[in-house]
Amino acid sequence: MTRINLNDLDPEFKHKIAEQPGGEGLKACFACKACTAACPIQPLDKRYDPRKIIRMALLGMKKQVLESDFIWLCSSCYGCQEVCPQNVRFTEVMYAIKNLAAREACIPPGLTVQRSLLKRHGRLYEVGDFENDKRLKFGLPPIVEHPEDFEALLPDQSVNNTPNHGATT
Amino acid sequence: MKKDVLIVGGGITGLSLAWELSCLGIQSILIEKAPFIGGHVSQFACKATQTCQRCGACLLEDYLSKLPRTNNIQMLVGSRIDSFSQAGREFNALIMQRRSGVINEKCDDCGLCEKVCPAEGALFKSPLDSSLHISNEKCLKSKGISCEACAQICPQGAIELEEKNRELEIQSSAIALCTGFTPFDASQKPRLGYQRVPGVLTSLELDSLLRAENFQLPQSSDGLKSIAFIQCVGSRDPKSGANYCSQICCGVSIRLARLIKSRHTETRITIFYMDIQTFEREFDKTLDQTKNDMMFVRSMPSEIRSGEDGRPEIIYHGNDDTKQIVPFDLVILSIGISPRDPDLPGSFPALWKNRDGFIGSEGNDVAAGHPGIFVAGAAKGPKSITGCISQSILAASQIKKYLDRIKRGE
Repeated sequence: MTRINLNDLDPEFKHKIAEQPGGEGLKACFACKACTAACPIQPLDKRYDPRKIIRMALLGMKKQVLESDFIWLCSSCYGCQEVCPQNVRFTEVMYAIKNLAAREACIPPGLTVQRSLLKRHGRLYEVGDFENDKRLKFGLPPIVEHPEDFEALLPDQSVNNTPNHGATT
Repeated sequence: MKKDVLIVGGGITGLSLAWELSCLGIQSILIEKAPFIGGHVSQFACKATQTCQRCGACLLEDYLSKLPRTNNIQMLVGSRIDSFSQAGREFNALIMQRRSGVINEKCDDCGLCEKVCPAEGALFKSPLDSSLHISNEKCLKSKGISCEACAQICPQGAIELEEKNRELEIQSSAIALCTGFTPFDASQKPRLGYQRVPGVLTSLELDSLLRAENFQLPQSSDGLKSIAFIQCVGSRDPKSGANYCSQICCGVSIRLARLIKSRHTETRITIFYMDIQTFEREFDKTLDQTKNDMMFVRSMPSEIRSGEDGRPEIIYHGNDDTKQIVPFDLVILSIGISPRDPDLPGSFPALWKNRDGFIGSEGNDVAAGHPGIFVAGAAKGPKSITGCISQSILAASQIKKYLDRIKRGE
């Protein structure tokens, strides 16, 4: 069991999550474990446990939550949200937490790469001559990349990948 | 007919209120919609093991034996308020009484009618005195089908299917609503398998099964017996519109579990809960004793499904941090208390409704939101049997004060 130093906790963390769209229900949790029992990820990776993430957030373990890589494991299946009697809407809470993490610049490298691909090419895969030559053979029009909109949407941002991410991905 | 108080509802609250009023010398008339009095409590089993578990189910029989001793109470079964008006401080209610199709004085309980009846549940017995009644909703006759099978076969001529309605006008100075509750409809939570997975029952169903004598628990082929109780089904559940604790279900489940354990010592009992609430005094001591006899798991199941061997399977997150899929012989959903529509005519004055949909204010008073109208028991909010009775006593004293004020002309 790890010790939690109260001085390291951020009492404002739960309010910050609850302020985000979708995060409103966080504080209603009774810790009944129905969400964890419904979660398809938890049996595969014990670190991703909805009930525990809620407890960590309520305790104010901001660093441990936002800098972790397990928060990105959510499959967005909404199973937890379905079974929750208290209307916590945990999948939405996870989006709120992930948005906070992104704002605090804690994004795993995989997502950082996707972001830069999106910004550079306007899509998640680069379309080069190889693809367009093949399309031509099948009589399909070539794909022209339009990254302009995404350039405006995704301004430059310094992204620090935490050592934690580097170790597991 | 002139009475001091009109009591709506003949459950434990209505009966105890009528008795308390009678002790204060107040004349009352009690109307009950069902063909017999007793309400929900008449379905509950005595949960005594070697010792009394103080469930309160026997208190109903207490009142039923006390009530004939007084002349201050008149009771009408099969009745509802058809129309309503008010003149000054005087309420005027027109009561419609539907007579039961079975004349109980003539019936000798031969059972022939039940054998020929094509509609299941149309003929049913009162859980209190086993008298036979016809359900107005389920009888084919009420659906416009000309079936008279039961009346034709009855050798005693005890069944009269011709509708006999009686109207009765009652003037009263006060009205007490003791309309009780509706048990939470567990099929609203399909994931818990009620009416979908065999072997899943509600606590109310188990209670009435245990009330019937010689009840044996269903046994699986390998002789193993295991029962699971799921708490908070329809309580503390804002998603189902029940953002309150029903207060009784923990006590009911633990008493039922202890009763089963005392009759079948080899049965393994598991109670799934999120928060055990013991509202009664000293019940925490009972809980401590219980903890050795059964397993308490702090986890709400995500799903109850039918297993390969036909038994219900509970999927939950265990105390050892792993997902568990465990089969049980019987799963009991501990259902909560939901508000009930009191079935009053449109001309009835508007009443207060509290945050959870029950009649009355948020506080502990018995005012219903209109001078002269009172509310008590589970109609006002979730309550145990003893809780209902103590609120009746409060209501009786408040009604007495109100009637005295009227008499003084205030």
